[in-house]
Amino acid sequence: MEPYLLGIAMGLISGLIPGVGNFVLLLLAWPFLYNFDVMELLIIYVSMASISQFIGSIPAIVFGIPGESSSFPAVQESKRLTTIEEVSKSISGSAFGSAFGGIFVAGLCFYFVQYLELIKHFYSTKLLVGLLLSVCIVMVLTIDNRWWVNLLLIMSGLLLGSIGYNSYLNTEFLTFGVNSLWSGLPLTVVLICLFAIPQILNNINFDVKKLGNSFKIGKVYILNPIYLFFSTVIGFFGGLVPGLTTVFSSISAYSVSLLFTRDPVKRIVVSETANNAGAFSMLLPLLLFGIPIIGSEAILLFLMEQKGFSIVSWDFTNSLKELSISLIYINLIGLCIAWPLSKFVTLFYKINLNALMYVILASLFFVTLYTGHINYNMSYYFICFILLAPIGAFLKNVNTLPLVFAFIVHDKLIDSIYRLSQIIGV
Amino acid sequence: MKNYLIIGAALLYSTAAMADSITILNSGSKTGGFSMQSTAYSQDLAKDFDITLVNPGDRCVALGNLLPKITGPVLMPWASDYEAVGRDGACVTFDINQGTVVRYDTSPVYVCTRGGDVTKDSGKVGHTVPANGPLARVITELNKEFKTSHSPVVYDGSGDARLAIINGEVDYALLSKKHTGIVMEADSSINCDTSLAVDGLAASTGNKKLAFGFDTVWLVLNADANTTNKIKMSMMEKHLNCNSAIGTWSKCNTTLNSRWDLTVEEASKNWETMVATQR
Repeated sequence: MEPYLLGIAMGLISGLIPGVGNFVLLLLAWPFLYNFDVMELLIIYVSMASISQFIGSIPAIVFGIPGESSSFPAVQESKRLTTIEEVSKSISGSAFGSAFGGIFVAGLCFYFVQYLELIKHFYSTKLLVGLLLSVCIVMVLTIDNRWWVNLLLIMSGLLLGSIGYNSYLNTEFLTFGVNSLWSGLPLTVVLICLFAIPQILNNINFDVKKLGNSFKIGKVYILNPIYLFFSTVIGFFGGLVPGLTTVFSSISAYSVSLLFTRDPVKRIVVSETANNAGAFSMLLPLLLFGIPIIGSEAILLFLMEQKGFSIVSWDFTNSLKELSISLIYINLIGLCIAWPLSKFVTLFYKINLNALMYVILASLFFVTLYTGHINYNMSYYFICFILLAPIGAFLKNVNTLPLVFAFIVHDKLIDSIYRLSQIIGV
Repeated sequence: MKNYLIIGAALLYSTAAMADSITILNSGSKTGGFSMQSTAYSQDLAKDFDITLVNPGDRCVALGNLLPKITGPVLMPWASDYEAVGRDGACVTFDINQGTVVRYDTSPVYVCTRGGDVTKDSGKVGHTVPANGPLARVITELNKEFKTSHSPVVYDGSGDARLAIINGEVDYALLSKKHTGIVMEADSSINCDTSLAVDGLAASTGNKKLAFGFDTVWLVLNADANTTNKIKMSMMEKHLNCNSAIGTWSKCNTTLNSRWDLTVEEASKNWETMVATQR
């Protein structure tokens, strides 16, 4: 029981507080984690990753703040929710969709465990380049700006992401000899300034009364099973992409949904379903090949090795079956935590939203400073904030999702295109 | 009240002063071997020292920004290939003589193959970053020496390179010792050998550029001789204990080739030789 409780508590924190991700939380929880065995550590990790996906969608849908980074699509679509019923539907739909995604993936892993080794073929450079470019193209064509604006935003994201030292190509770009710039622009600051701030400024002064005038709330909203299935599949494979995992799951499923529906509720549910599917699949490379694909998994691997985990002697089949069953419990718990919140949406809107938005803006500034502090470079984070925040304010009427997506994937995209050129001999 | 505060402050100070404080600064990525070992040491040495683990996951930040700000004793890893790339213009270099080398590791690069002979059968060779770095140059040297036409394919880390040979994207992979056992276990058709060690192809052909390895050092900085020695002894003790964090990570030291007794001159000479071959 203890691993579940600890994992859920960590997931709540990770999902609700922007800037506090799983990596930081694992480091903070270190003294407690050392007492658990391998399977318990995995349960903690899976609980944390899944619950943070369930919970992260709530502030994203209600207030337009990304609790965790895979909630960008929900943030983006939240401003298109015009009634409390839609907000309520989005929350309950996301809770059910997330539970479906998680449980479906757990079921698949349970029954097809002997075939999971085949995911090694997913780690093909050609496939990775194809996936990343496809999502970029879909974004250019579907995000609600003009296509050339989307293209410009993607190019800007790639440009901003390229600032710094690229250890892959051993090149530096626009560092001007400044040490801090070698590590590039901090991801947290870029996301806050160029995504969260435009969203929040766009939300300020929206018609709160109109929003509160209607409706039946607390209805169970379950998306069309075909949508759920496809978003789960996209989320599963998105979770396998190194370094991007659930972010890629949700953004790619969201981008595809833009082709098929204009309903913001459906788009939110699709992306939230996908990120929960990805929250489990991202563990498979670690469990199958001993390869951590994000920083938090590296800490998990270390802890597991301390408890005797060795990829050579690891009983993958039975352990994964056990973990799949745990995942079902965790998703049911997540559903029980997130779904009831859909009934209390009116309470959220009793708060003075405009005042809240200003509080959130101030909080994001402190999140920037705090993140800078834990990364030992507060002044650099502060300067980046001061420089980027006005740009974010200027872009308040633009959907900046293509920009932040390109910023997040820039190194994977550039590196894998370079590698592809080596493989095909160009 | 004032007296209580003074007593409290004194108690706090004396408790803090009981254990020496060390900052363990990881100069590697967050998912690589340096990160794992830094974490292991932070666990093991916590019994003897007051440890702060600093893990920015980026050597430019670690050495460029953070190290100058840390005034107390620091334990830090550094790699010869980082240094070689740094001297060729990348973000940071570090003179190991600024500190004391307490541990010096040497590890040859293993050539893992899916059945081909690297001296005869041309193919794609997976290696770790950077793209135009020392490992890419070894592949060029192989082509020159054996008239092969291998093409280098660069991966972000050993994990990715490992997957690439397992899934058949490359025909060969250049990996460190820790990864070879896992690769061979994952696919029995893959074999790894030390043909790029000093006594391998380099010895048989007389071409020294075909010898390649990773030298790494663990340095103690900003500390007097006593503290340095205490840190070193504590590290050695933990390495001898297979149940310690570092003992577990290193499979009871079987994946490491560590020297603890090198003189300053020996360490410096070995280091400079390795860095020079990697440039």
